[in-house]
Amino acid sequence: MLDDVELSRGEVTLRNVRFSTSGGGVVALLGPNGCGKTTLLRAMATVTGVDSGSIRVDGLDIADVSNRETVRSWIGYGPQATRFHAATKVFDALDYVATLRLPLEQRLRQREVWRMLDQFELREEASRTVGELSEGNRQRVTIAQAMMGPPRVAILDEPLVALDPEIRMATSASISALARTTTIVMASHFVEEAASLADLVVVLAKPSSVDEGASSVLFAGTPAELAGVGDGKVWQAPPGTFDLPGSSSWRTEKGVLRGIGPRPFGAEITPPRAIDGYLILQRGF
Amino acid sequence: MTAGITDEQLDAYRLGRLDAESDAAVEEMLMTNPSARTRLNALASQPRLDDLWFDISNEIDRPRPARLERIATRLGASEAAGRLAGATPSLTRAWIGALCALAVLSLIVSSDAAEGQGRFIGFLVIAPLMLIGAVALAYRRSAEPAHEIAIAAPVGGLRLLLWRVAAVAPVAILVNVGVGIILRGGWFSIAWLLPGVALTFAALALSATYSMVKSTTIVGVAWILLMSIVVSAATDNLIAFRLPAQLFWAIAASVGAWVLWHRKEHLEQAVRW
Repeated sequence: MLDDVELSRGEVTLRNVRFSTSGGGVVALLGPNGCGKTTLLRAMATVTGVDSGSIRVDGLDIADVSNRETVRSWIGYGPQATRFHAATKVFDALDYVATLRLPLEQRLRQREVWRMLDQFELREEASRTVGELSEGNRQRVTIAQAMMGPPRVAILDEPLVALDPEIRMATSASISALARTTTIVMASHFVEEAASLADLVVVLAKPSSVDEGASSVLFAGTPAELAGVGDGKVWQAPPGTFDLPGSSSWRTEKGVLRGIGPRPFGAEITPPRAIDGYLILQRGF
Repeated sequence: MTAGITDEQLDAYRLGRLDAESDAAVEEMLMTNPSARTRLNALASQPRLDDLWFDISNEIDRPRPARLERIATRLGASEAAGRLAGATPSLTRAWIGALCALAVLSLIVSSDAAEGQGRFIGFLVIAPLMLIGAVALAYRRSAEPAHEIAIAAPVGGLRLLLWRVAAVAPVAILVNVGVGIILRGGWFSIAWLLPGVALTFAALALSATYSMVKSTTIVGVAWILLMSIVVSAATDNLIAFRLPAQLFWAIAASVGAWVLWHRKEHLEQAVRW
């Protein structure tokens, strides 16, 4: 789907980004702030162009203006912190996007709007204004508008950010339910949650760690493969153990010390998780 | 037996509520009787109960459309066009305020009766600016809710922009005509219209390259420069608005419309907010 994309916008440069997916499933883009997740998603959503390389959706190059209307009709896009006008009613906001995106007559279009409102438990909020919503519900409106149709590909920028844990769980569940029919490409910095949702995880590097301040793909694979990066490298030590210089470690529940790098006395190798693989990739252990 | 089949029976057949024997009888009748088939089709095409239920709940639960949208659809815009033009609460206080401020300004600069007809020049220069200014202000990027979503949508930028211009322009035109009438400008009350349309098309055509605000600024500044040159060079300061000049504006507006039409494929996907 993405082939050797080279993108530069402002401060962020992405190089040699390449991954592909097929029908359905979740692709999670992970990486530190400023590594170009949003830049990449905006390019995929046809909001900005790419400098070289190509992005294809079902074989169509999205940079080609003659394909654009078709490609755009396949894509739902939920930018980060979408701000509908505070005075717009929730129903109107969704119906507005539906009018922009779906080639349906009023009745079918509004049926789709209600279906999404029900799916995200927003029916009660339909007549309230966007400004009156809680942060969590506003976030759901953003996801719901991107999922109307449903589109072939939904591009969601940080759909889980600013949600309290309970709502984050519920939203994750909705996303994986929707991923049965739609390919969802989402950026996230919740590694564990993204890994539990995703079929394909793409880790982007910190800008500084690669040549000339450009970011590129450090890893692309399944969550299990991401965890596998940490095979034999992650240790766990009983409470009261102190870490050694040069290691990277943190306390988990019950005071257990978990880390990567030089192993303190009494520490034992433990099965890695996706977050361990992510940290190893980012910190170069 | 041809005449003996009732609508109730056909409906029961359609919904599979007949016992096997009557079911077979109706089926046989349908094979041989075209008019019964037509009646069955008519019954089948009636809206189903859950469709009706959806319509009712949609009517009740859906919030009332915004005022601008209701006015647009009442004036004959399609429902979808009304939604697109009206969903942006763009007729904000700031916009109305700016419009009124310009109206007051043109009243002031054009009210010195001692100058005769020449006093209309202030009004005539400002009025077209009100038209393009209205379009730019109403649809500047910050007035577009979630403008990135709109950019990524298949509905082309140009179509969207034109619907919105159609929604905003009448208000600016009404205000201008009102000012013209107050000034007792006679036919000069509308002499600004063709230049205004030409400027609007020019700004729209530029919006493929620059943002709407930038392209209107460029066109607006060009207009003011042109007018100050004309007024300082010509003996008749209204020369740009008299009949021969109106012909020129009409041609300019047509060229603008032609360019928009000709490049619509490109503009459709390239228009920026």
